[in-house]
Amino acid sequence: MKTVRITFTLAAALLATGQVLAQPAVQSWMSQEVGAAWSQGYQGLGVTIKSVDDFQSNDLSYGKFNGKNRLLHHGQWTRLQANLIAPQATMRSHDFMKDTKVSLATGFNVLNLSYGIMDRAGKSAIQWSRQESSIIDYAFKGQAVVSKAAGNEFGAAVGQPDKYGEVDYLNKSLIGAKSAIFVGALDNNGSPSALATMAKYSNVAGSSTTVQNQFLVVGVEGHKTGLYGTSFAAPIVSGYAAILSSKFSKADPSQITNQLLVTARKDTVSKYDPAIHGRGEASITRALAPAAIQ
Amino acid sequence: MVGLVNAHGLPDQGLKGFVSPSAQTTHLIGVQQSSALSREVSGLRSQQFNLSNGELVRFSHWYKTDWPELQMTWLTQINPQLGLIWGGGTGERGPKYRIATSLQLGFLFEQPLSNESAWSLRATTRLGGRLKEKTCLADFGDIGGMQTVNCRLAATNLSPEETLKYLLNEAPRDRLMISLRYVRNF
Repeated sequence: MKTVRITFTLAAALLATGQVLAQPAVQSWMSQEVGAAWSQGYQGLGVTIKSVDDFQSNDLSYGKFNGKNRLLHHGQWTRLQANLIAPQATMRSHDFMKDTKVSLATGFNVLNLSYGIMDRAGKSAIQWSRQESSIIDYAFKGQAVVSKAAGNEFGAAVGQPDKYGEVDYLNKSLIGAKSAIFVGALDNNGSPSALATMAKYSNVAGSSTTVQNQFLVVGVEGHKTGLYGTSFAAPIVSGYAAILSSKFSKADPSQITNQLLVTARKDTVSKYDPAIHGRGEASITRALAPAAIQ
Repeated sequence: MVGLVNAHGLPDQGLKGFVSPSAQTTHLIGVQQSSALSREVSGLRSQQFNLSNGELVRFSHWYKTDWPELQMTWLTQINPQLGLIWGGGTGERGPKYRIATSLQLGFLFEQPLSNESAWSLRATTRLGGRLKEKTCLADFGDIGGMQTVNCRLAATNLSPEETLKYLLNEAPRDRLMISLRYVRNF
């Protein structure tokens, strides 16, 4: 029997509730590069980010993104986080409990997947619902950037069994898709002078070069937000994709995906290893920059 | 910067210091190297950004110059009350900008009100002297191809065509200067 596993680790936080509001301000948990990317005013304009997540279950979590402790659904957290990175993006929600086809908006689309579909290893094929089959289809056809949380079983490689003998089949089905990115978590945003280490909970890229080439890591500074897990890595890359698309408005999802992957930094992570970090730490400033200029 | 001086090495005091009632004379009243626009450009030289592969691009070689703009101003007496102000600037250029040469024209009119006081009107205009920034050709690879961009903003989140709106294209700060002065000696 397959189960939906939210790639999220709850941390203790103070009790409080509040409104979900996007504020265009660089926050301490963000990479410093985000502020630089905002400096000219474009922050994801013309892009729709759809968060496929839990928006209605009874599972609520405490966390703190923009100064206030809140109690929100997992999907509200991931949507808010992506929106904080790309404040001018149009945000949409798709509750995964409905298990209906995920629709795309007109224009450029980013799908944030901070969940996995877990089942025991060894199955040769999965009968996907309309929801996941639509997502997989978009990723393989390059119709939307799909930012997929790698998972929270450190040591387990994307597409391989974890210590419980389970595999995230959604990960497995996205391997090789031209506009899908697996996103792992670092403990901090890295820099050449302060290298970041892989978060103890994060899945890794593994030995498959196909996965390595689709795998990025970003800092998930849970000690500042109370929110840990690769669930909160994927929305950062979703936001980066939105920012990048607002600059290169003619680029398609495959090109945006590739730009984020090929411009990742290896010099900001400790003991860089493609089997762990894939392409390296996502860098929005590198992704925005030209390859050459004269 | 040499600074604004007159031929006597004193701050500009109008016609009184220069005009002899018996002869038409010309005085150098201003010499300045590095204009306001020149200083604006020099402020860009310390900036830099990284290419997508991490290579550092410094702006210093784009906005360097071998010759900072030199501006000189003279005053020629027409009569005891009226003087003609004239001069020019050499302009300045670097790989990614150009300050055009300029011509300065104007007049100084001085009217004594008493033995101790006078008022004067000075008006000048600078023709030319505009700062224009040149573009760069940036290679954004598969995602954007080769595009003409504002060199300084190529790595920002602005679209390549949007960066062109921010190319420097500025008239000289002293394009039109008018001053009215009252002087009383005690």
